[in-house]
Amino acid sequence: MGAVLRPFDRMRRQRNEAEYPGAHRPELTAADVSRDLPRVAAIADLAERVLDRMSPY
Amino acid sequence: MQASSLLLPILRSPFQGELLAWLYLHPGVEASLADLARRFGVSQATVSREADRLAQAGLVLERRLGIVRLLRANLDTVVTRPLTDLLAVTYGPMAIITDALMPIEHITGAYIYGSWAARYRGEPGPVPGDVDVVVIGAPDADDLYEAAATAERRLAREVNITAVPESAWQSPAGNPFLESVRTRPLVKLDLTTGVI
Repeated sequence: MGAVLRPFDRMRRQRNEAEYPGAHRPELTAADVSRDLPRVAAIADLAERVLDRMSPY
Repeated sequence: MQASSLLLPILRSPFQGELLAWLYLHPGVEASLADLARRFGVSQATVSREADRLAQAGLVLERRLGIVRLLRANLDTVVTRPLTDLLAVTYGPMAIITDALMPIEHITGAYIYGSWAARYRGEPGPVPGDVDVVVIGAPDADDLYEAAATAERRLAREVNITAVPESAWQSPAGNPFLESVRTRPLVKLDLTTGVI
């Protein structure tokens, strides 16, 4: 589970940075996004599987 | 060569900062004069002179192995802890980020840019709040992110590591980020010789 969730924090930060583009950080490319797609799918899949087992709080 | 250190202006020279930072941020590790000279691009005579001064002051311990002179930090003085902290937040980035990047595959080069590199290269300004690093190659994004997190913990300041493909680094035209990075001060990190 740790391995699947490992990219989450990085992608969250990258998404935040993408909202404020500037010359001090490179722009995200299509290749960056494509590379991360399987990892996103794996996290979504994991979330789907654990959702039923979690209490509402 | 800069007359005095701008990252930590109480030091005699930038090299004195690099040498002390390397030794104090690798506690217990011995390094030869030749290794240190190669690492920081100075002559062995320069390292030797600095080593004499620091050994005399009790900040550095030395041991001779035949004709090889080995240096290490003196971890047993009242200044050890505060000096280590001071070096970690000033000269530490080169030593600590190099260490963090070494185990990562598919990296062909790495540079510190931004305000830390500018201060290091002698451009006056405030003490840098973060350290920006550009890595050339195609490393795994999560490996890089973890390396940045490790370095952040050790340096107690934000570390941002960005990867760019070799081709983009070679031809930065049309890429505002790389065009700006390449015209500003850069500090190359030596990932080939290893730290220990």
